[in-house]
Amino acid sequence: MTMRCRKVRKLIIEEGARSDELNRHLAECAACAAYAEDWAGLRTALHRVAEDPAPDPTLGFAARLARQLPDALAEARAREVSLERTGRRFVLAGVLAAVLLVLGLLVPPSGPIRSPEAAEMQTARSEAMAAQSYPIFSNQTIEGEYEFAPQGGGH
Amino acid sequence: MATLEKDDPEVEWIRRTQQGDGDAYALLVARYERRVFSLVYRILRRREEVEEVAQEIFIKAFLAVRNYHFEAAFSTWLLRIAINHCYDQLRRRRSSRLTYFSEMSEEGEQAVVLGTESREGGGRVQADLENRDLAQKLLERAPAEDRVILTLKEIEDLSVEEISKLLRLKSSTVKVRLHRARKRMLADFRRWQEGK
Repeated sequence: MTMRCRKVRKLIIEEGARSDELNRHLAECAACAAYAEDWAGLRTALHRVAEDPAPDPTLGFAARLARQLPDALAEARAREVSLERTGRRFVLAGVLAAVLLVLGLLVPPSGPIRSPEAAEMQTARSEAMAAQSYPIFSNQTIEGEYEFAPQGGGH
Repeated sequence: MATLEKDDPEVEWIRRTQQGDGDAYALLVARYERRVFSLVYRILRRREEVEEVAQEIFIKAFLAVRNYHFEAAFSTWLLRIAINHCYDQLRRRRSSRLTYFSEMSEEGEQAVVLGTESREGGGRVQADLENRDLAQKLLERAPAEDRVILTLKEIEDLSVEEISKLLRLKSSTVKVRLHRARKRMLADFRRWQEGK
């Protein structure tokens, strides 16, 4: 099939005005003439299909439909409410997930809530630090009062 | 697709329907039921399903009528809903090339076979009938998109502009899709003719 044939066939399908040039080509090219004939045959066949009458609505179709409208409306509203609830749940779940994520980022990575081992280590470290860092608290007096002990023992 | 005249009671019916008046909607349904039935039948080609599908379409339109803002004719808006609904139906029960005969009723299948066999004995009329059956069969086998656009153009005889309004597509897009669909259908038609 030549370029010319392609162009001609495109024109046949698009059903534009048939120029003299196109008609000349159809007179000379048997393949394109057959193509045009088949297209005409298909068009006729489609027109026959269009002649097949559609079924008529049964008597009282509109009135019956109108009676169904309140139920349809109620059903649609129920669906809407259900969708809204589901949507709200999704939003809440999303917010909760976001809060948890933020909390997760804020909590220090070695904090006592990470794991029992980490908690033990943390406690031990705190005790050790307390023992080293607060030598001024020498001993505890009665009823939770602390005696301020002189540093260096020079006095 | 007619546009609304100022004194057309349809405007009033639409406004009342938008406020939930079912009786007003029944008037609209009565006005367009034949148009919708025809479109549904021509796209789906299943006589027994037409009323049920049309009912679904009218209910869908009733539930959406508040979104109608008189920008296009009510008929255009309604038929757009009908086309989309049919399109969904087609996609759901996609009648593939393999299932075509299995989906046909025994009578229908026999009619096509007999039509083909009796071609030699018939004349022009018989050949026309046979071609009609073939065209119908090809339409049913066509992809949903081709089927809708070919039905609107070749069967419903709508213009490219009307189709572009219904499908909310540019005229140029409609032309391209129509060209492709026609080309594919003609290729099938010719293949079938050659195979006989």
